[in-house]
Amino acid sequence: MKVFLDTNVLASGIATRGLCSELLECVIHDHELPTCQPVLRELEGVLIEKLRLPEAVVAGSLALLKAEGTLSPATNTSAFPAMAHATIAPPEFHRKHRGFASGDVPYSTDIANAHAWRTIVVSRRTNTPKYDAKAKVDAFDWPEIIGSLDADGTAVLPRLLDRGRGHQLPQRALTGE
Amino acid sequence: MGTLTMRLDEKLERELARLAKRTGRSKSEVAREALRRQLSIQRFRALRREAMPYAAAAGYLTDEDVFRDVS
Repeated sequence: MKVFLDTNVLASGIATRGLCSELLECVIHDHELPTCQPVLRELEGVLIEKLRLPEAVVAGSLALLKAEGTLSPATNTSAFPAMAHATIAPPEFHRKHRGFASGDVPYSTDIANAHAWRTIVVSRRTNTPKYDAKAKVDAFDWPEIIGSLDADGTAVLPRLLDRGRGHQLPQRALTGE
Repeated sequence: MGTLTMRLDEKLERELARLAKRTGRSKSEVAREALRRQLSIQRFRALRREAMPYAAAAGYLTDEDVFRDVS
């Protein structure tokens, strides 16, 4: 399973206590963690300017993420002006990574809409009224959710919909549409 | 590319063979992937140990502190 994490999740996972570190470790250990240059640039700024990490730690963190896999630069960032990340990935990325999970709700949803992906939204934020997944996801354990994803990117989330048995979720099942 | 020769006990060897067969990969591929992931985890944990005191000193102790300031 490819898991694309947004900047705040990566920064939290690297430098603070909480679920993000468990999530990041889980993804590194059991899944793949593609990222992209814009996210890495933003992460570098956050780690240096806000979290005040030493240069060596920042460089080490970026090197670790790059080693996990970096995507090519954007080919068309104007298509989704409000969600530039949605077009960062080149077409070959979309073909290869048909299923993924993201920490970013609008990113996930726009990617899914544009490319007919099955998308799992793993987010605790509620900054977009249209795609409010917080209420559904907040109470659950991110690493457990990620760990339950199968290799094809189809969600099997036994705790989310039915605590008794797993479910195959259709696209956008978690986005509230 | 370097070569590493390892001695495995019978149980571990059986498990490795079983996993390789199930996933359609060679035992070497499975072992390389496991080693790569383990090294990444060790690097990640070491980076966290270094990073956390600096982030805490800057006022970022938990996920929520970061989420508050970083969208």
